[in-house]
Amino acid sequence: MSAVSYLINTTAAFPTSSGTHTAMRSVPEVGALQTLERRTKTTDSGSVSLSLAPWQGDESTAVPPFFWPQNREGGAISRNRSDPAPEMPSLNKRLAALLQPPLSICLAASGPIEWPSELMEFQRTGIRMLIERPHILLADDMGLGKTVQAAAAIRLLTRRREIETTLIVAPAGVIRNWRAEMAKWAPELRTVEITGSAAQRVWKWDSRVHVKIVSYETLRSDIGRIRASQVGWDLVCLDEAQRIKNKESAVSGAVCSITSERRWALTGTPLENSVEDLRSIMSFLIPGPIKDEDIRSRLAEIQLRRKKSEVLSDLPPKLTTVLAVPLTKEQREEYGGLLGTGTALLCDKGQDATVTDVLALITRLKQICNFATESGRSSKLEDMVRRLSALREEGHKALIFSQFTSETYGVYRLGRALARFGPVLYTGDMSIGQREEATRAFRDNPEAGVMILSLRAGGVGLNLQSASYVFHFDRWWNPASESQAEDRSHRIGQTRGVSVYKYICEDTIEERIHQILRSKKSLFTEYVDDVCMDLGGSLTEKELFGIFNLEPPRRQRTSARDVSISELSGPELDMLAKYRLERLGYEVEMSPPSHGGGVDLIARMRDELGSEITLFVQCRNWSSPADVRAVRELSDVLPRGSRIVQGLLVCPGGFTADAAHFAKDRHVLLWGAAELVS
Amino acid sequence: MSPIPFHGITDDPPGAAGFLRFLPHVADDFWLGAMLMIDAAGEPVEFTYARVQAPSPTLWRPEDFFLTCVRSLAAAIFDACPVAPLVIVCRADEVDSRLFSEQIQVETPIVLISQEPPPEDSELDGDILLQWTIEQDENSPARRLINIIAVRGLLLEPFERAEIGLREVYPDLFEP
Repeated sequence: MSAVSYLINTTAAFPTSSGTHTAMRSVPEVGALQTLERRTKTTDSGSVSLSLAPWQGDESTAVPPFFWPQNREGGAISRNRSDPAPEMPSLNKRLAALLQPPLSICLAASGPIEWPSELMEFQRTGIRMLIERPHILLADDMGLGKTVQAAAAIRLLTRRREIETTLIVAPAGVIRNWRAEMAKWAPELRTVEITGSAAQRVWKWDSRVHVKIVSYETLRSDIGRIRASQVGWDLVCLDEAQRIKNKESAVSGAVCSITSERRWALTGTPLENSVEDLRSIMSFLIPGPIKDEDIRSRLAEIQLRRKKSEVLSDLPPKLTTVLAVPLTKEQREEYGGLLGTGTALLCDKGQDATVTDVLALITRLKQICNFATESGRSSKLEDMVRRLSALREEGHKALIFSQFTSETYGVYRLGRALARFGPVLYTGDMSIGQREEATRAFRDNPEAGVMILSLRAGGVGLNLQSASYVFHFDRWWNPASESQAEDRSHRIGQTRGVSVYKYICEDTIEERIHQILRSKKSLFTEYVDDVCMDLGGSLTEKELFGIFNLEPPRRQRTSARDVSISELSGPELDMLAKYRLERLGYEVEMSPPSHGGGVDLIARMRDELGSEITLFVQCRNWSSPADVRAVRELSDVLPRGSRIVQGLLVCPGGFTADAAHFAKDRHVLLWGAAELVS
Repeated sequence: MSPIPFHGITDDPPGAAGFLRFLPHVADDFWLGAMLMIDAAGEPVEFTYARVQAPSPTLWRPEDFFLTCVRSLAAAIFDACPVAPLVIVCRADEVDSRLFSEQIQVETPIVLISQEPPPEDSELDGDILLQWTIEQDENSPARRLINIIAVRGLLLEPFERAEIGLREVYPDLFEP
């Protein structure tokens, strides 16, 4: 019985000339047209089932046949890797690959594959090349998304059944990032990090997943087991491939001893200048001896390298990457100790514990996330040095921001640690002359590769467009301040292509708070961009105490969020408005109490061109909407025709539609309860 | 309606669309046909193919000759296909509308696709016209599947894949 139900009309008109019924024949013997009544089932037809079969856990398969074509009976086609490889893949396999949707459609934003964000044109080119070429050195400038391109290509290759097993070898510090990028860009692929104790790793190596991610060091340790297991790999991808530039090293030997049909090497460090560095990477990519004189020509064949300046028009103004790094052993020990004692102290304080106590503990923990106090070890620093080295070779400059300035945890500590990059420091305790000198030195001195700034000092009044890379060594959790700082590098003269890296330490308070705020941020950014997200202002008391699994003491009322805005007294409302304006970068002075008449606050800020913007602020602690009269009252005190003096009317009860309309034409901004608490 | 109600991780409608492709007069008067079934994501699900060798058309009325060859291929493909698509898609310039109105009665909804020539000086492709042999409700599974396939730019492209598949299955017939 055919699955497609159909009937053939046997009364159709046919030529009656003799022999017609035998004139058409199949090869061999379709017979369908001999006569319709005598139609026999064609034998020269076939069907190939290309179903996506759920993994049945078939022990005969080395990997889950998740995308493996099925045979007609619906069972998975087994593939035993110990079998000699057939010279020609089966028709099933060839068709399964050939009949996949074309790459152009798969990579399109409106195509059948959902991508977390639209791929840029140069990234699509990179993905195509990764798919089409078995051996490739992807050497794009840092910040152009090599990981994204590789993850997307792995996804497509796996979907197209061209590969089943992938091994990604990466520095230990970026394994978690790889996992995150794979989850984001190839969500249907199963991925495992090969980490943990030896016993755990044995189990993980044996797991049947699409992608395994391992560090260079772990690979070197486990290489004997990998060889013994005779697991075959379809693709081996080396991230930061310059790690194997020493051909004689154990790591290099281990990596090169793994066989695979496809081999990719990713690096942001230019390699053209060192034949020796190249030799090792080339010998990984193209097994077999290569003569010195041939190395560069072979490199040209397999290297795909795009500089940031070449793809500038494709790039968005700012590309932000959050880098999650694990703490070093020393940091972890110190962090664990402080967390234990700090939490115990908070518990002991009981009802006397305040938000200030919690914030103080958070600050101490954040400092340890930067540097271990005694040894000075820092996983963030180690990762950043690696990235800065790549940038340095390319002649790029970078800005590094930290909220701390101290010799132990902040700007000055970083300055010592990054001495070889010619650091220029910029902090709030420097005189105006010193700051100008620092800015000039960074701009004019080619040896000055990095500028290290305290977030608060470097966030305003600086234009540093010579840097196209920005690192946030720690987070202030205030997007307004962070973007203000980032804007130093792209505001004037460099309107596109700034790469921003934000560090957080895994399994620490930094990661926890990052997650909480990320979940809240989408709500904030829906209606206001530069919203204050300082911890004290953006997390409720419950959330702050909850970070340490503690309940907040009762009767605490230190966060604006815990207060009903409509219950605020006049002075309280003034204070809240002042606080909000300061978070937005204004300097605010309070005018003498006016009892509802004149201006309550005067807020000033300099814009990027140096012009001063002044806000005359009037606060009305009304629970009902303010009407046109209230707007007019403020409008009347504003200098007529001035574009640099504006009014701001604050009213928790909101505004009537007429008032909103009236304010629009008179340079008066309106803040209701939402703006005050967001 | 599934007896076990469920929601998938995507809103893609289940089922597959079968793209029926006919290649007349390949070497030695072979006629080839294939049906590539794809799901809403464009992934191939099933590929069914057949060939017949046509005689000299001298004694045939041209329209009958064409129709008969195509009907033979369609029947062979339907016979061999182990799963039924939600909808069968054909190119209007390849399939005489009489095939499914007079020659073969298929229970599966069929949609004939034609592309209008683009307006002069336009860089855009011409409009694509769909003609259903059985009127489909807007929310019918077949219609939903075709709609999402169209949005994803997969309304014409699978015919090319079907030809690629035929070239792989019958390489000898395509050699110069």
